[in-house]
Amino acid sequence: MVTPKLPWELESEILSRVPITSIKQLQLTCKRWYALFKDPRFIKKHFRKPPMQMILKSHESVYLFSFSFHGINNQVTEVTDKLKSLKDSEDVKISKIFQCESLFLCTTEDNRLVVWNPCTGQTRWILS
Amino acid sequence: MSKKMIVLKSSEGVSFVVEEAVARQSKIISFLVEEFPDRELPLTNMTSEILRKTIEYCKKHVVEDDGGGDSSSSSSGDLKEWDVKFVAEIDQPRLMDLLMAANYLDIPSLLDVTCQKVADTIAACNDEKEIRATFNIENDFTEEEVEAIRMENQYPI
Repeated sequence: MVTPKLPWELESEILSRVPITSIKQLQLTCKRWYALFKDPRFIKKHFRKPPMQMILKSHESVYLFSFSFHGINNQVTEVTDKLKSLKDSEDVKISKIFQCESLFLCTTEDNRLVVWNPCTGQTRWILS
Repeated sequence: MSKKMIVLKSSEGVSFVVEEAVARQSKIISFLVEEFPDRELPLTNMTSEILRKTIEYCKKHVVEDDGGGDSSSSSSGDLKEWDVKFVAEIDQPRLMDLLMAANYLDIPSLLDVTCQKVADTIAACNDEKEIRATFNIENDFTEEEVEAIRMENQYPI
């Protein structure tokens, strides 16, 4: 980080406080951070400090909101992600959502199933 | 009753005379004053500026136990607000120095507030480029590697 003298455990402590919703840009910052976010010990630590999140379903779309009540700038509330189809250019039309731990199973209006991980933005369609 | 004072010396050789109760918020200093009483403590890896900031923080957070009632101690809400302002006024490089000082002197509450401020700054960045620019981090990925990571995060049908 800024100063090369920053001990690794401090860097890890700081990154464990960044909401997991920023994981995409954190992983792409540098190789050290990329490796950290693959480290099971670090992931365990991160899950002990989950950010406050809310899923909102509105007009056939699903949104992820992230709150931080622990941070210093704790007034921030923002839409951090929106479920989109990876294949279609248009948004998918979601009819129902079901939660299982940190994953969401969504059914679409045209009766397809997609699993969404809002933290990473990953989606996987289930073929019937 | 006169208060016990100790002397902390910065890397530039500047002496800071502080109340022992203030300095004892550092677990390291607390240990050192017990082991080596009446000694001046040289802090060779801390600049006067950072040492002054650290002392300012410790003064605000010292818990008076001389029976003075609630006159000297701040309420936790006020203290939290003060902490937010305290770290907001410090620029990025100095914040990192202060974080290192809190780590070195073992002042858990200062370490907590500085780590959180850095984490909040990272979270406020829009993308990895802004993070790198803010924290002066070198991009050590090749374009192919970036593409591979991006693909990793996508599972098309």
